[in-house]
Amino acid sequence: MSQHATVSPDAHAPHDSAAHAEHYDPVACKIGMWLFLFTEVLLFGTLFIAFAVYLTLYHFDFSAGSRQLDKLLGAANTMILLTSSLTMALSIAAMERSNRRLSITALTVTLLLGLAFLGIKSYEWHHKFEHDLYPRSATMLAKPYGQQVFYGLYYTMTGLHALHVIIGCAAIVSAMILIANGRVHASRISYLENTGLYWHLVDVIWILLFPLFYLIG
Amino acid sequence: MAAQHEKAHPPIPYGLYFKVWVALILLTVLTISISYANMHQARILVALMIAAVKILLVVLYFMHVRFERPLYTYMIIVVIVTYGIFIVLTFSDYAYR
Amino acid sequence: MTSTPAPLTPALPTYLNVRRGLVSWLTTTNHKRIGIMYLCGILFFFLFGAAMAVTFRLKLYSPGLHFISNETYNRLLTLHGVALFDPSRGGDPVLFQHLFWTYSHPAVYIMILPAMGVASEIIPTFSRKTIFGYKYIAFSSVAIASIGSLVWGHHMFTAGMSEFARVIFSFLTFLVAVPSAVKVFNWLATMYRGSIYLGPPMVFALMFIFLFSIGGLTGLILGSLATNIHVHDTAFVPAHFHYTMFGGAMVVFFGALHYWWPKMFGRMYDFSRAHLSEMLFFIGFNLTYFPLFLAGMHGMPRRYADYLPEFTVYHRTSTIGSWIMVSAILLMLGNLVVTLFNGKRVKDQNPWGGATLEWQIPSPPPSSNFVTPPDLSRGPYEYPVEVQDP
Repeated sequence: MSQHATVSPDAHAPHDSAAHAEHYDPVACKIGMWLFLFTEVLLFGTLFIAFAVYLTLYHFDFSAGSRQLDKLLGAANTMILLTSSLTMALSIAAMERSNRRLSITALTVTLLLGLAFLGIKSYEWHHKFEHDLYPRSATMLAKPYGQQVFYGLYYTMTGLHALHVIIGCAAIVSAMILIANGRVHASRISYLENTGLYWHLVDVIWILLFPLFYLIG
Repeated sequence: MAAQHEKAHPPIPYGLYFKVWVALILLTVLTISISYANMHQARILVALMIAAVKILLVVLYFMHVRFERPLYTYMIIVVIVTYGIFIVLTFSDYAYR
Repeated sequence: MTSTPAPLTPALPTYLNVRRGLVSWLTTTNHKRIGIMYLCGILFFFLFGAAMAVTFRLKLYSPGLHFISNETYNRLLTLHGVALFDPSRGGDPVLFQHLFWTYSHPAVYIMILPAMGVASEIIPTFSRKTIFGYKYIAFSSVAIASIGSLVWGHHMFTAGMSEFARVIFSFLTFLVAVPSAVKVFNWLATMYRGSIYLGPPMVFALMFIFLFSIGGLTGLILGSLATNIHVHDTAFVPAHFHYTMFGGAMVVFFGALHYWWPKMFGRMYDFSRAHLSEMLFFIGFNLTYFPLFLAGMHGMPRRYADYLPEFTVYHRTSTIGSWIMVSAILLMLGNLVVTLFNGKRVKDQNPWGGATLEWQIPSPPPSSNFVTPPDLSRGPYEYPVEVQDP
């Protein structure tokens, strides 16, 4: 099999099935993860295009809709995710220095912040449901057309984003387990790095979601 | 095996991450305060520009692109340009109806 | 420089029998096994779709309500193509179309590009000649992928988009035809002055070039704004994309099955039956889909469960063609599958004289593919290679 150009040839064990498990190509791991992130960018990207189109069609209603969202909670969630990005980056930096304890601690904080984000988001949604504001509800159907579209986009995009936060939390937990049992370490760090990349992307998406939904009132 | 990890430079100092974080928080505060100002149409544009700076910080520093080989930068640029073309083509429809 | 023939019984277990049992297949990380499972999945859904298609074509043999209800027809037609369209309540339907086609059009290029790659493997092998213009073939794939991601609006010319958008999308659609044409010319140039052997994989590859060209050229008719108005949503459209997708990608898929079957399973199939199935398929395919071009130009709408009597001759020809085509496919698949039970084992690990690396290992290959590092002294499409006749 042809070797990747940047991997040193002596790093590969001879070709037999036992050595196959040891094969580790950090460059390929990282490029592969970025390619996946690009698909996520296009996934959310097309939703943002839909938002942009409807924003131009229903500018007034979108402003009205935005004013019905809680800016404070949105801001809190933004701060939470930004901080969780920091702790995630710190976790990787710690692992690079083989500081396992700090790495796991930072991951724990990241996870807690992620869960806090989900908690606030659920509270926001619950608050809306309590006021009979969910897709196809009587109150919703009575609203101006553009506001219905606004709420549709709100639930879809923050919902899809929250799903990604949940997946990210699961990835963090599995990274913690792999660090604890020594399968992820300074010389085999790709799993943790890629978890970080995913988490940062989730943060980036929220950086865009926050002003567009909460701050156009 | 560590040599494979192509970090030709020393590990990034923790302090740098904190500085980036402070910048992100400040930019968020800026975005929120601007939203209270009376700027109408321009408000969205300014908010998006600040968001772009925040995203740049996250991508370059938290996601390490600043310290990786140029390939990642090129790939990201290709994706952004592609996405930009999607936006332009879609609005070539909506803007001219 | 010559490839050494494999011993009749390989010293190592092959990827097929190294571990047995269902669980070993479902949990495998060996991509040869994963590939075969994909193959089975694809074939299953293809045959399922074909069964539905033959059924609704039976209905279209004659005009009028008969055989199956219009509702059933609609469901079969939809399902055989797995349409996922569900118009949202309100909102702009054109925006939905933008979002839908932004993905779905690149998806068809995802389907055709690997097929073109396979053609680029089969044609040099069966022409005993180095592939012509390797770099251009490689870059044309990049061009098709890039430009092909920007043409989605050509599905929406009559949906109500602005004139400006329509002009841009039409232009880009014309542009994307160019790299495909580059490939076709390079394949032909590869064959020119080659030593052509018309084994079954090569016949399929040549069939692909012919059918795909018809599909591509009719795509230009669809891509021009003026003609699109007349043929959009007529039978012309399914005729076009069946020529590109079925006559294109799927025919290459059949060719790939015939090319790599001896490598995958160590068995060789009967050539005369393979050639018979090819001829029958070619006749059946063209009888099925060519009349739809004509019907469409005469105004037959697409996706209709019934039609005016003036279209009967087209539909009847098409339905008869579908019977011939399906028989050919069943004959082809049967010819292949029967070798798994009592086909002759390949005498030589490189029956086609291919220059790519898979032909340097035994058939079927051992789990880890290369027990000793392969001979890399020659490029993957460089010839000549000493060949034994299969």
